[in-house]
Amino acid sequence: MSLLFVTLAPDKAVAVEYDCTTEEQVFAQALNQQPQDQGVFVQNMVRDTALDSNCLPPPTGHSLRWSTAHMRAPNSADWAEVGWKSYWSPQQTSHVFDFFWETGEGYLQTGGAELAADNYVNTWMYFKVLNVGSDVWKFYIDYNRDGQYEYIQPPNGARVTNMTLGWPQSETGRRGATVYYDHFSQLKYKSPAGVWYYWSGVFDRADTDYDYHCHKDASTEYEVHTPNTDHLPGSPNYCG
Amino acid sequence: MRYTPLTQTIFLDPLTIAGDGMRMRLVWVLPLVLLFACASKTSQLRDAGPDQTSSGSQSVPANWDNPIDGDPVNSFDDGRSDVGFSARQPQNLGDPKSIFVTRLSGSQRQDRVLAFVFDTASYGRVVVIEEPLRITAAEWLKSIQANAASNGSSGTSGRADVVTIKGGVQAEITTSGDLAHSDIRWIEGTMQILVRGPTLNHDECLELGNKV
Repeated sequence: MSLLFVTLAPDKAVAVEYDCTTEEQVFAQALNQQPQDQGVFVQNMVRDTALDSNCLPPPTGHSLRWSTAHMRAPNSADWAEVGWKSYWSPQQTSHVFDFFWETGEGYLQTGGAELAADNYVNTWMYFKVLNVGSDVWKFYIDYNRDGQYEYIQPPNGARVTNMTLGWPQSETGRRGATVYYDHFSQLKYKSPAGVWYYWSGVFDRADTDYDYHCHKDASTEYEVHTPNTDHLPGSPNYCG
Repeated sequence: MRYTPLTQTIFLDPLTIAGDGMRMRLVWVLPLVLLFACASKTSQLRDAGPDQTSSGSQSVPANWDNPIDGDPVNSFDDGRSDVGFSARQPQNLGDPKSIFVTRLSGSQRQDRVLAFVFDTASYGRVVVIEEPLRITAAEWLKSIQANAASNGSSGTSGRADVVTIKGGVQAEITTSGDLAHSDIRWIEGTMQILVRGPTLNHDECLELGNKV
């Protein structure tokens, strides 16, 4: 558990408790899109990743921040995602970065074949989740955007029982008081006909974070950062 | 180790700036540079080893009031007419508090899902989601068996158990790593039924699988 003091007024400060095990997330979804698409593509750039120094490194701790391209099944219980994450080194002296994929089927989560990454903070990268037939999903990264996608997955892909389609989404997540300014752009989905389209808008699908929110820059671009009024309904930056 | 884009020289369009002699050498060198660039990129990605740092994501936090972010419908008959599979009314849970179907605007009938929300005395909030079976029954069974076989393996959190309900129907119960949460799914004809709830555990899911 760690504390962050948030100053509301010059003479008042409120201690907000941050839990190193509880996730805080901001999920965006393609506006007006229904759960019938075959894939999602995002360009992502993490602006900052100051990890909470009170949260222990693995294996006793968890990854402390992550960004993903995410597909969510029509039943809302199943999902598939690819992205990158950071956490403390064993001596808590430096940040460790990994690319990862993960699937969820109910409460069963499966991931693996993780790939060590460099510190790509402030670097645009591509992430792509793709259905390749039946309920099999594959995951791709292109960390220098040269068009050469790296496939980070077992050869036969990952199966999520009965999930053959879904909602195109993107995710920013953290634990503790980790700082996680994030930026997504060029958001696309793969239609049931197999054609890639840009999102028609950004919809704030779920936001469990006290401090960070979705701020729309354009129909295919948004940032996650600390609040001001521009993320609220009525603002041109409102995600919804 | 940061990736250095070796293909950058190609982007400078060397063929247009080189003399004839240099151009001849570049014709041979260029494929080698490209080949090396590809190999170099792959080498930047190193196996990070066993996944001990899974994000542990729960996907989008469940909305137990509208679990499929759907449109409300007034009755089971209304909902049934909006979906492309043979839905049925869940049993032994009383009257649903609400029923939802995948949002009608922009969705195809064959892709839609039906969700029932119940408030029960025995189990608290229970959600029953009925959706079309999108793979064969054989594929479905093979998939849940593979999930159960993966329990405890590296990169896996939570667990899956194949159980028998209704006197012979194979079902899958998934349970979170802390054993606090479970759900159950099975297939009936061309439909998958998924039962979940914010407080359901493994044994309660097994009970619900037999009675719903």
